[in-house]
Amino acid sequence: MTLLEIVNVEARYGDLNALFGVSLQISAGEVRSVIGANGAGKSTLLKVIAGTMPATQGSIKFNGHDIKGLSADKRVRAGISLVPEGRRIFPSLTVEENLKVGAYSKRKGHWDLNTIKALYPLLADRWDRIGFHCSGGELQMLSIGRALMANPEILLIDEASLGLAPVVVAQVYESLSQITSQGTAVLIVEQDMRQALKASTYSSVLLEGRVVLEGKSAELNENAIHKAYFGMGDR
Amino acid sequence: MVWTNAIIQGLLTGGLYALLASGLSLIFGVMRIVNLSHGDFSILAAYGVVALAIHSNMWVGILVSLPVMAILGYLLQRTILNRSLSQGALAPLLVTFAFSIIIQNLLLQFFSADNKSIQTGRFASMSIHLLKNLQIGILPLVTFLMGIFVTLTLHVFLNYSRVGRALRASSDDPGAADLVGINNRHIYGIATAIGLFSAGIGGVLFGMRTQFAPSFGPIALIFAFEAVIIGGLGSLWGTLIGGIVLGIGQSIGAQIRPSYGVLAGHLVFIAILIFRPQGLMPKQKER
Repeated sequence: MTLLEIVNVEARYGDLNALFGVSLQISAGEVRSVIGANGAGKSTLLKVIAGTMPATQGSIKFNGHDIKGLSADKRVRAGISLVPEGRRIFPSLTVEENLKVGAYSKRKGHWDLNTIKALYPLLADRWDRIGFHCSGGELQMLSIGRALMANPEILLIDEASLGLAPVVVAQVYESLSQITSQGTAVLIVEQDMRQALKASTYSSVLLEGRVVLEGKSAELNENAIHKAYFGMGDR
Repeated sequence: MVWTNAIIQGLLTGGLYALLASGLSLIFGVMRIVNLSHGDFSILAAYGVVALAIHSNMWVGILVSLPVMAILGYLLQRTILNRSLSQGALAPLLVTFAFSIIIQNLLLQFFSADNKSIQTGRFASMSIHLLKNLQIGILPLVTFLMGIFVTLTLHVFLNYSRVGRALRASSDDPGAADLVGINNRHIYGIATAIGLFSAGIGGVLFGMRTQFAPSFGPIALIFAFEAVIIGGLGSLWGTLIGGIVLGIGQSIGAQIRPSYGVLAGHLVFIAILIFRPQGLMPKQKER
């Protein structure tokens, strides 16, 4: 059953085209990764799905409905949550308040303050700390926790590992299985190829705004990915 | 005793300035809009009560005109101010300046330039004796308590309600607020609705205390501004303290010489700007 289906999506920053005819399909409960170098269009792809950036071409269907015209806040209410680049935690709100704001859309489901505490015990220890004073790892967990509070059907994670200590990266990736076990699909965007392949069932490699390679994560040849990642293969 | 009296009367007046200022502080805190028409909306609410009191009574006037202020605030935000927000910092400033001019001229048109006041009967002159030479008016006391009540209510709303937290989140980072499903434009509408509602409370109490004319808005605005700056930008309790400091300053000045009251208030304001520009209680990053 296809949860999210994007077909031939294009997006641009002014005169600069950032995505060229990108297509993707994600099913419920699946982890899918998009790998690519800096500037390959990974974050742009997530922004287009989350609705913070418009798609100039193509279609975006969620649960069979066209959502291209929906604003970002309405897409959250529909069941799409983004963990954005840079975490974007509210600096003057406490950990608890950040999570409560995450539930603003009032979507019902497995995730609430208690289940998030169980998922990331570290956050429970930092409960009354304001976002401004949280460390990078805490911010990343809080950002995922905040997105989960909306009980999304699909969770989009932008650079889960960026700037984090390896221990924290491992914790974050471990938590993905608990998230998908609730039926939530996860789309992760990564520069760290190995991490992304290990966590996902299906992967796409993005180069200069185009999907240049895709397949089951376990079956993708590392050499082929390297070539695709850096654009050295014959396309 | 005259000085104690001056300080207490100033303290009570401070509650009025806090009421005039709290909405200004909220609107600035959430949207970074400097509402130059804030004082005019206060005066508009007072005129609303005057007009309605002719046909019924003062209480009906208050019960009708304050909610109308809130609705007006929401609609103005959704239709005009939100649009101006995307045009840079200057556009909303000019829009609120335009509101100020429009309100003043409409009031002149409908009510003339004559002074008006809200008739409260005996209420405005009632007082209680605290000590032999010290008595405080019921109206100033009610005004002061209302200032504390409104600040407290806003505090509870912003910290413990779903929409209040959304307001703070939106103030921190509107882009991230979008990503948790908050419709910033709706939230901004609510902020302005609350802002004008509280401006209305201040205006009505102001109108019970003294006479007013259509041109009084900017005067109310200056006092409100000074209260916000003295207290510290973005802090509601700071605004209450700022209003009180301004009130006491004016009252002590007036005790020295009656014509020095307003001047003394401005001097306190300038002193704060020079020696503590962040205000007495600036917005805290940590708790």
